[in-house]
Amino acid sequence: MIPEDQARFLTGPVIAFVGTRNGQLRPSMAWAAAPRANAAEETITFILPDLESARVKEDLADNGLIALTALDPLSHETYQYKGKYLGSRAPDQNDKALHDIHKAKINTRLREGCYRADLFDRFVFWPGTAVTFRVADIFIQTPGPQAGKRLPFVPSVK
Amino acid sequence: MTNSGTIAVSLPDEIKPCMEGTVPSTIVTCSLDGVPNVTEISQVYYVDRNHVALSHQFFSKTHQNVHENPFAMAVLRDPSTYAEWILELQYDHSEESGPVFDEMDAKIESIASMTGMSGIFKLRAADIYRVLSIRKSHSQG
Repeated sequence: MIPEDQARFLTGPVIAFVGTRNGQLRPSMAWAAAPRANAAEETITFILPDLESARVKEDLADNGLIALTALDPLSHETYQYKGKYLGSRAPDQNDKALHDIHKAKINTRLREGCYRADLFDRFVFWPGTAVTFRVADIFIQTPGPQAGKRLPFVPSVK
Repeated sequence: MTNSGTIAVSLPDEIKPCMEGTVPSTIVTCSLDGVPNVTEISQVYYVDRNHVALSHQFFSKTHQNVHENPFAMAVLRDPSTYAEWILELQYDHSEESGPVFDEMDAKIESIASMTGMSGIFKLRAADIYRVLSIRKSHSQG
């Protein structure tokens, strides 16, 4: 099981990015919108924006190794989820709703920090592709001495 | 700039505001066994037209990865427009003293104090990277 607090964290006002790599071990990254965990299935699904994600899509098809980092922009609480790509699908209306809610949450959160109210609207995350991967490891990345520490998460499928 | 949007490796002046540490940057690296690692980093430093420096603080996985596999990608953000630049980098060497290190150390503490994290950030080394490619991102459409 993905810990409940982790699943909750991901659906909060988090800014998220995914990292991948190609067959020559050259890394790439893209934004990840509307991340959410299926705790029981130990998976995370997110919207990979069509813009600026071509290399990430190629990498996922090539080897499937993926890392998603999610952070609260004000508290700096940060976690990284590493795992293996399971599949992609065209997004549905539920994904669009989650995308809109995610953006609204981030804009609200950023306003609390006196940032521009529409700051996050500048980034275009839609249309995109719904991507799912199975989580193998979770790491703390909140700045500080605990950064890099692996959370006590034991996946049921290796 | 070429038709593909790629600029030769020389860093343009318009990217310098992205290196003031106002908006965090993001870097992705990859271990030798092929596992990617994504990290937010407080600042990418301008060294010269062909090199940037990244701070090696507590995110030792980035530092470890580039010692195994020198290739990295960084996304820098303009503090006024939030326009993004995508840089492909190759790790060159680390400096644990000297003018680049001293400048980074002072700046890191300044950023930390602005974000209420004074004393948490500790610079271990200035990791120097060669810029392999640079282009503007289309993430804002």
